[in-house]
Amino acid sequence: MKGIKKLGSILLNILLVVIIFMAAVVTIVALATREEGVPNVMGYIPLSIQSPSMEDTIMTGDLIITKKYADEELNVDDVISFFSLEQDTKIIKTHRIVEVKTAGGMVSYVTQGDNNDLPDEVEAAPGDIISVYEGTRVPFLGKMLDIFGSQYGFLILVIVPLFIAFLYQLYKFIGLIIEMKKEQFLREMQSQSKKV
Amino acid sequence: MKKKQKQSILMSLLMLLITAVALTTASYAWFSVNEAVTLSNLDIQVEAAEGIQVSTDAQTWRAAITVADILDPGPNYPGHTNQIPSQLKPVSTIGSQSLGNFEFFEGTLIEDATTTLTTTESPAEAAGDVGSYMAFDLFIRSATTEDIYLASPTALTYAPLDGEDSVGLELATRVAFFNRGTQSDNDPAGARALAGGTSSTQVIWEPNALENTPTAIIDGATAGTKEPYYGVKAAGTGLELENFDTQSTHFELVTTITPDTDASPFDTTNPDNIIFTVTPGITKVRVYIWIEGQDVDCSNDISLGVGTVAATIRFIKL
Repeated sequence: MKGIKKLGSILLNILLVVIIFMAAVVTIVALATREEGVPNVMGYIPLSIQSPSMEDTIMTGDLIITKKYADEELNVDDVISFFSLEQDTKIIKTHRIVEVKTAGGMVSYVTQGDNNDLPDEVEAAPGDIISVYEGTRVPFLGKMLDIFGSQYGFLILVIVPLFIAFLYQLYKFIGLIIEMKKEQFLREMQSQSKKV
Repeated sequence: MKKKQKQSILMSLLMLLITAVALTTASYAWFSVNEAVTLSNLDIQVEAAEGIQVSTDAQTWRAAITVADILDPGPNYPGHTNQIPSQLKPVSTIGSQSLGNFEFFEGTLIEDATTTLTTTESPAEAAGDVGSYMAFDLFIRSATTEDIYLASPTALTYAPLDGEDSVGLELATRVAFFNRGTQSDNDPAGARALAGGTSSTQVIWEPNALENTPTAIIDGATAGTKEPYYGVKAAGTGLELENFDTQSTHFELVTTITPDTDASPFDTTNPDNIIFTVTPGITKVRVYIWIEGQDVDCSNDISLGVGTVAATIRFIKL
């Protein structure tokens, strides 16, 4: 019985650590400086991959850590994240450069997903480019962040458990204080009765 | 025992603080992320096809821009006057220019023994959610001289506001492109400063010219044809809502909307469909989108009704 209780306590603590870790990651991303809605953590931009267009290089659900684009020269085979309009919605694509076009000082990039048969219809202009992928990716973390970072996901998976954990810790703390005061009182009673 | 107890209390206090901090910062993050500013009643997208790029500040070049880019062109263009009201109201113009801008007039109906119209000049254009019509600067970059056409899915559609029925506002919308000139590629500041003048070229396009409301047809509009209209050209009071031809000081017949794009505006074999021509460098174009109060589809009351518009503009070159 004692063993089960101890195991339960350890599991609860592990769960609390995981929740605090996810809360910390989501909080950092949420509170990071945002440019055009894209989080920027000290020059690095975390992006959650939503489509299979770059598989098997980058998998759906991966979290990629990209470096903010600083107007540097880009080459064929570089993988970039950029804004694109798709069905009247501004989205972020992460695709590979397959051709660099220059004309009279104008540069544009023909891009294509590794898993796509054809290049993207619209060329990326320098102002559309957000960041450059340098190979850092964490499998599944993008998907987890999407869930934890959604309005209700964050509330149910982070805020509510943290609140319960806080109440539990408060309960434990108050219990320990009461225990301590009780022992103090008993000791005083004992010393007084000895005097008598 | 005492020492062990003290340690337990300290550990418990530490855990309490950790969860309190985690809860506070997580809650703050949740609230801040869920505070969204949306312009749900407005949607503008400008797209450029291969070989041309667009910008809202003549420095950051993109394949497409949205209303967010127009509202905030960035630190390079602090003095912009991109006017994007969240609601459009009918105004009128004949395409005359004043100080490098189109002249627009607003109308108010005065209900008395008879109903008359008072027209006043629209306020000076300013940045932000102000005014009754949209006006914004667009920069187009090209390496060669190109004639620019509109292409699918260019359109203006009406978005109902709070369940209101359309009064024909989308059928009365106009788009104008006012070419203010070209500056060399390495002079974005000069491009931003282009003010245009009377020699600048302009084009007014009526996207839904061949459609009319049932009311307009009853009033004499011919279905399937573009209707000329008497645009307002001066401020005035006590103006009649008919017999515009006898009030030539304040109204002028606009018979042609150039170019004559309405039948098949995306037909690139028709030179009339050229919206503007760009030369090598940065061309500054002032784009206007408004609801023409004097359009037959706008009914007799140009102060009546508000609506919101979704605009997609796509430029191509041959």
